[in-house]
Amino acid sequence: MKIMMQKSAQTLPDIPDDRDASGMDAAHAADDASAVDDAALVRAAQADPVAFGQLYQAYRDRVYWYLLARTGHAEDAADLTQQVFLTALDALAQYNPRKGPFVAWLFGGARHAATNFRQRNRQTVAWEYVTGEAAVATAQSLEDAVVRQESLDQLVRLCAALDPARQELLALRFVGGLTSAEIAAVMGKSEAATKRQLSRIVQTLKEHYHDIHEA
Amino acid sequence: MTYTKHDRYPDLRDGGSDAETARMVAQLDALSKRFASAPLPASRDSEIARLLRERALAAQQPQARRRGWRGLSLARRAAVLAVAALTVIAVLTGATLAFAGPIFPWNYGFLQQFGQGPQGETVNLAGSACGYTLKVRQVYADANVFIVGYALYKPDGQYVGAGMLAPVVTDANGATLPVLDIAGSVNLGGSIGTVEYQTFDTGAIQGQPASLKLHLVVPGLSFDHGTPAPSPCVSPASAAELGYGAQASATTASAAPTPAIVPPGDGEPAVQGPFVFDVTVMYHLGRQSRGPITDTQHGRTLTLERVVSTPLETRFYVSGAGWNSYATLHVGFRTIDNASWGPEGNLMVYRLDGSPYSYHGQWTFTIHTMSAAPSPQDKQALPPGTWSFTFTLP
Repeated sequence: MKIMMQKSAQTLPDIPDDRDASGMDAAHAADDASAVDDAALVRAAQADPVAFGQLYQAYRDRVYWYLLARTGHAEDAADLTQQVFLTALDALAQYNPRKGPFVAWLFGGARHAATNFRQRNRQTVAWEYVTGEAAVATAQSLEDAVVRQESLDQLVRLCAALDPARQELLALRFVGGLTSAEIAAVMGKSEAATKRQLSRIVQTLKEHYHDIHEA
Repeated sequence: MTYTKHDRYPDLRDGGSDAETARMVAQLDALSKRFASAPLPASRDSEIARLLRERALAAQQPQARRRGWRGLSLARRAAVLAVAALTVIAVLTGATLAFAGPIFPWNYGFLQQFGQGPQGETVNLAGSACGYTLKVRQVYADANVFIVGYALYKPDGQYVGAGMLAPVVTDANGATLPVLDIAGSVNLGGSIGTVEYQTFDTGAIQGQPASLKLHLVVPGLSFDHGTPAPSPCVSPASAAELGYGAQASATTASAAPTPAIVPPGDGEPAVQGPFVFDVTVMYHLGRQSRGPITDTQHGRTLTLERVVSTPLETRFYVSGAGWNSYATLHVGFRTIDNASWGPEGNLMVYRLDGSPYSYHGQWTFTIHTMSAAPSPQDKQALPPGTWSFTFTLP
């Protein structure tokens, strides 16, 4: 859990608009989380709620993608994204950086919203939502595209077969782009346990993937 | 095929990695991009941004309407007076405000070296409960942190991955060392398995002891998932009794019921102790400054009370600074600007891991005011400026 603040710039950092065509990597902006001075943005928003817009710009896509993974429906994910950020704005004064990083607090709200949605709609992580367009678009050849498509489809099925708790861990890590420490803060577990669980899930998927191809 | 995307997931490489694991991580990364290829529709994006702005502006209005004390109703004036009185009483009686408390969670990137290098002392202490054996493999203590490396073993002696729940460390005076965080893990291989490292704050240790006598109580440990072996134990404790994710006192831990396998939450099983250890560990004092240094700018005086530099991290204890600050350190030709900071009592503590401990000569530590507006709750918010402290560490 990251509690202390990290300086990245003397002034409020520019928040890049990562919604460009190649912006898929923004899902993994957590890897560069230190580049975004959350603490400064949060303080600014706590002082002036209008500044919350910068936090929205910084996190809307990651939250939306995570909710897309949890709901499987673009419209539902958009509705929940709206709900999460409006709730976060209302509750921002209660956020205490000593209790964890802002991103974990925000995703905690997203997780809560998604869980409520799932209970209402009896859904789990909707890995099957995804299409193969991305794999095809990045393939070197038609054959390559087919192979990648089959591999990813296989993985989609394996992910869908995991229990909901493990699916959620994968969604937070790979789709939401949270680090293990941030996921630990969201889930209320130790970072080590979170890391171990993620590693174990990857191992399980690997073994099952191998089993399928050996069969 | 290359797997450079794997570099985004160093946490999934704990305990080593192989090509198949790298491939699976790359596949999951590719799968995640399928979601990322579907951005929030622009119409919804602008709609949400508009709603947020409207709500934010609405939240501003009550502040704009305020016209000072005279604008408040009698009831509100009474409430303000009551809060002010309570605050004065709290301060006069030394009550701890919400800001107090030294908490510095982090990971040390050096752990690969620590796990295999000379800094940690190998101790191999063992404690058993419910057929499981918790072994404390390594310990290390300096003027900033105490680190304990441990691993859990099943009744058949096989290693099993598990993490401490609410460990408590007390020193010879009975003072509790604040829990910091999990510093990582190192796979030592063979029958030892993966050693997990838990850290505690030693910043409050007084004097210059050659060693520390510490008492470690581990109320329980959580497994990754699933109970690794059938247990004959009954399950008398609830999750709350284990204090999952919270600090348990040593008293509570000592009074814990019969050891048992219990589910502490989310179906994640745990083995309940307590496991109790007494350990004596060498105390590395590191390099410390001799006295306070002050600097006054724009009528505001900041005091660098002390500096504690150890191989793992360096801490700068400053009085008079607020949250709206950040620090840089110049050592030799190097500038370090990745300090993190937070309050500890009435001091602001700035810390650098990737410590400049080995840098001798002149150090210049500078505190800068952030240009972003300070939080209204920041009573020690700094005015614009920089405060510099130049010194050498013995």
